[in-house]
Amino acid sequence: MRSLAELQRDFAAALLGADTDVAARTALLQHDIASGAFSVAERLQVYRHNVQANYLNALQLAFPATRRLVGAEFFAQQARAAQPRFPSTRGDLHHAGAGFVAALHADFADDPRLHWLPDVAQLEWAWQQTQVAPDPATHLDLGALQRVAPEHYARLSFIAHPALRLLRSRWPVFTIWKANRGDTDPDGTIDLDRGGECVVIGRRQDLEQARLCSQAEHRWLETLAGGGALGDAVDAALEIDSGFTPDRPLQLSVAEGLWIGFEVLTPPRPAASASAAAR
Amino acid sequence: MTPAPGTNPSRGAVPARAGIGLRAPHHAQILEQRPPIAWLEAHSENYFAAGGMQPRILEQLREDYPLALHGVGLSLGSADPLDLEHVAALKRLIDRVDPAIVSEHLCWGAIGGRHLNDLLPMPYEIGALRHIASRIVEFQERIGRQVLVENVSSYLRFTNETHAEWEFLVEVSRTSDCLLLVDVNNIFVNARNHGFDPLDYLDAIPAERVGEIHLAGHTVKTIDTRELRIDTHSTPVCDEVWALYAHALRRFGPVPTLIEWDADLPELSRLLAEAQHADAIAG
Repeated sequence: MRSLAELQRDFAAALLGADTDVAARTALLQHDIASGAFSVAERLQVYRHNVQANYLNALQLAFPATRRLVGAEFFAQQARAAQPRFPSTRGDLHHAGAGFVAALHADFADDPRLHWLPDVAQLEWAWQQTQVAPDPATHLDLGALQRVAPEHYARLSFIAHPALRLLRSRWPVFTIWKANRGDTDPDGTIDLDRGGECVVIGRRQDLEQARLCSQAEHRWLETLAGGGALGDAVDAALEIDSGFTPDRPLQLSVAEGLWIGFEVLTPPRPAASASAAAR
Repeated sequence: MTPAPGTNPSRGAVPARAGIGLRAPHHAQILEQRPPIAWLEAHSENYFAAGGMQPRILEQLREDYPLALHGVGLSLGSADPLDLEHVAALKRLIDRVDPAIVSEHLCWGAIGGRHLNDLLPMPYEIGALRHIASRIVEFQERIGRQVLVENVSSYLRFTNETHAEWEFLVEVSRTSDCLLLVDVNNIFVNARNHGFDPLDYLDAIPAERVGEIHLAGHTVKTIDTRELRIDTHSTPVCDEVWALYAHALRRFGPVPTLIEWDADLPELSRLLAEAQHADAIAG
């Protein structure tokens, strides 16, 4: 008699395998499952259907705009195609969206009809992740921030809110997503050649918000979110836009609750002098 | 009001009346109106997020309603090692909302790190029995409390089985010292699908091991002239299941009972009407 692990492996393979593999995988279980009024294949199909439906339901909840953009049937086809390649890796199905986005990138990034789709799904997934990100352990001390002496500004470093998500796309993803989030039909058409968009998503007091930002601001935020100093973030932004100034983006990011703490980084130590090295 | 065995008497014990499953489309209405509901049961995984609105909603409802956490994704019967990340997320939620009851399923749902996110049947034989019982012991030790384990609906049986489903269930409960969440609809579905008398099943369960009862609706799938009952939680409780419920209460005495409805979710008032019906049967 086979072990429980072997039985479960074959069972899972029959439920999760691609449509073309079902018959072969079902045959492996022919002697393990009683048939009776229904064949082994019919019985397994009930579970296969449930497993696919549960995965699809989770994705439908996480990707309403993506689904709306491509239609329910096409969306379901993509979910079925993604599941064998990117099966859920957790008992909590709320994580399955990451694999779905990866599948869309693999399948459509080079498809001239739908190459914008993976980025829209990625934005929608980032929005979803913002909602479930951990609550911050601390809150930004505005008073202390205001007391930082101007000569230390360049060495300011911020701690990002766990919900902060930044995206950059060569497509107008924010415009597409926003037009397809509601229940009403979007007005007009969106010109895919209007240029790429950068998006910042944050959460303040349990309320998520997403907005457009410039490429320079995106680079600035990305540097800061990675723990970089304000001076370095401004330098990085200036490489994209020589007119970039951090005053307004800083005010805005603080008001939006993107940061939960800060510190003034210690200046790099001067190189050891020859005499010090000699001692 | 007497707390059910295995429940946490420290705070908001679940009464021996009918409550309802908490579902996201009803969050806003329950939060705003705080209607009289005997108790609520939440799917644990829906509130696993480490922050944001979802766990906070549960925390708020916990102030006004006795609460049970019902897991659907732990995969107690899997041959994989116990998913400690999943257990840790559940423990964090338990610490946060202090539920009166924590329950899981007598099933498996993952192997080799791949999750099927469904309640898959165990082979009812001694090796699988020892395995799942030892996992329940480990799980109870890790979360520091006794859990309830629920019987699941099934659409197939394995050829290597040596136990009737109810023998397996009761023996797992005895061996691991967990309590039972008896899903009367699942018993009826399996009785029809596998051809046994549901009364034999109910009569084999020791009353002192029952901590909760589930009631739900199911659908009938017809292929040619053959019928298979599918546990969809998408319809009202059927008459046969109400009759079995009455029998179960005569056997077990008053037990916290839950109306489960997941797919094609109706208005909250419809769920509360089902709960009232259950209470009327309980008398």
